[in-house]
Amino acid sequence: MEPLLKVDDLRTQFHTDAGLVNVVDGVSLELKKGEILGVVGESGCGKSVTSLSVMQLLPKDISKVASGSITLEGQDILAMSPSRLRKMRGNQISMIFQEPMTSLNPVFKIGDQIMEAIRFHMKISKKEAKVYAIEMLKKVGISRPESVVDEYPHQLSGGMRQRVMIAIAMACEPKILIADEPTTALDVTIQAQILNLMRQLQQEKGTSIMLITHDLGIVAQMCDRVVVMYAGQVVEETDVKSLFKNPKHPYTKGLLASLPQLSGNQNKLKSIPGQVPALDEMPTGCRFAPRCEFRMDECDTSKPNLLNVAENHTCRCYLYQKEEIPS
Amino acid sequence: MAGYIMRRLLYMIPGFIGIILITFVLSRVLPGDPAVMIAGEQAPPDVVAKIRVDLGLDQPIYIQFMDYAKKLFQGDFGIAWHTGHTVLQDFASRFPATIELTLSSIFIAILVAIPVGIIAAVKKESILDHISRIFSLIGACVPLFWLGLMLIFLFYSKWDILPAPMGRISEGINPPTSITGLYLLDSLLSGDMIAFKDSLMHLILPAICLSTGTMAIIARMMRSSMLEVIGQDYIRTARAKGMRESQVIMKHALSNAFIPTLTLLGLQFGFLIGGAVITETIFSWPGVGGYITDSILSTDYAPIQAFTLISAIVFSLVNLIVDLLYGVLDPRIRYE
Repeated sequence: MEPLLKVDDLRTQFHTDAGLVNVVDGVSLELKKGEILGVVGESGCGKSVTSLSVMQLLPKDISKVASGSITLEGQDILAMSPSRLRKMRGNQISMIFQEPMTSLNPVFKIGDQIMEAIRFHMKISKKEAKVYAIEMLKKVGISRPESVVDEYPHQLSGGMRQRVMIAIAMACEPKILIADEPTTALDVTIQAQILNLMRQLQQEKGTSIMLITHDLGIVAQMCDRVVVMYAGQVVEETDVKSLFKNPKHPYTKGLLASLPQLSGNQNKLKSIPGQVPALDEMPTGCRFAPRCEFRMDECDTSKPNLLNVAENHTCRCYLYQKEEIPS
Repeated sequence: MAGYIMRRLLYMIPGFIGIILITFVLSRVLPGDPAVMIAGEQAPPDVVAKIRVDLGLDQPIYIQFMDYAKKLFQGDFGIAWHTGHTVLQDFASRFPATIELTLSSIFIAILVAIPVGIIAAVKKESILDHISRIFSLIGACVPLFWLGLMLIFLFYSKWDILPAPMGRISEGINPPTSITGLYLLDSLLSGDMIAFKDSLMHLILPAICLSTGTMAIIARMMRSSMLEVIGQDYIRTARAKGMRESQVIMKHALSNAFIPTLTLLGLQFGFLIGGAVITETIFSWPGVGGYITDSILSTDYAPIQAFTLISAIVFSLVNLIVDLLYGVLDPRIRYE
């Protein structure tokens, strides 16, 4: 089956003081209809830039997609005209962001901010849009939606605001929802509510979700498949069960080992030594090599490719060269 | 809200008292003897001495002040010696001209500066941005008197496209029926297009001259606050909703970026009042500014004191209005 969204060998560059750097370097991923894809990695690994590349929302003056392709149901997003892109945004692909506190415009009413998207994409009257906006607020679990439509963002809590963001994003029933760390800024109980809400809406409407997070707990709870990113590249991709049961890449293993365990020993948490390399000082070989405990000679000299290490399981590591199965 | 306004008005009073005191002292420290100015340079000393006694200038300064403050409290701003009228009469006949000039220059400044600031921010580091930066720098630096003279030289003397810089309307054309005292508005209201066109021609140079400094500063302010807002998360949200870029800028960004610009506009009002004094003198504009220049030159205490106090009151009220407007523009602000 043709995937809904296909990112192929995406390379996104930023102008920095050190010149042009590849922030996203050859990322490929697929999002199928109705699935929740987790994109995991630490800050600065390029997961947000990948999603903003899909939305074509990167600042044009300092960044560009240098090569690769992004297709939505076979249509090339990179070749879309600005007006076609606008019809896509908020309608076919919606996005919610990390910071609910600052993601809503402080000077407009909640209702107006929801209605704006509805009216733009659905071409309905103001009155109908308002009824619809109230309905959306109810759907995302906001009590007394009739009065919240006339309130301003500062009158709502962070969790409420993120619900409003979800209402805006889901209003036009998009095929894809990109959620960029949607719960990072919220406290734990609210996190669970927001995640449940996303899952519930996803099941009702069959929306595909690309869930960007650094929280493996959320991945385990929410996702069907997972893409692990490191320093602008995909290092491992598989279904969520295999990832937790049988992680391959040393980075993934390190991430899992650094999770606190409720049972068992109370020793100090493990961490991966070293730091993510700076964008303009990427190692010539494997990007994880300087921090890797399984490092071999070839890791420093040549770049590993993504290998099929098991069925539906790819990994970018020389350790599995011998195990590779033909795809 | 009403309580807030009352409180703000009360807070103004100590400031006004300070201003009354300072202007009173300063105008008396300045060189020049009003008695000599009234009597004339050639007048015999006993005449000058008599005038001095008549004016109460022979009294100790604190008694003069008590006398002045008492009258002021009764709403009496005194008499302008160099015109022979009460200061209030003089002000009443000249204030509309100054208001017309000041309002027009604010209008021109906003009309030019806001779009320029927006474009400079949206097209950051482009040629348009650089051009606006250069013009803002020039606008903020050029002295009013030089700019005024250059405008007169070019548009009147050299190209002869605008009338002589004499007053608000040409001789031989009747001023419009007075409704608001503003010639442009009055002539429009009474449908007198001849007076409208002529007073517009008279107004345009002084208004441009007075607006340049404010224009430059607002344009820069608009640019920087716009740049800050454009980087905000909610702008990205608006784009992610599929909004047109023009809507993103004009609706989502401008409504937030205008708030700091409004503060600056209120503060610029003080500059405009000061600038009006110079501009009116250059263009022989029959407003309060020219009148104050004359008062200063003839050591006429009462109008100087009255002008300073009234300017301070106007400035304070304008800034109170600006503060109240915040509440309209920004729902996060509430007055209690």
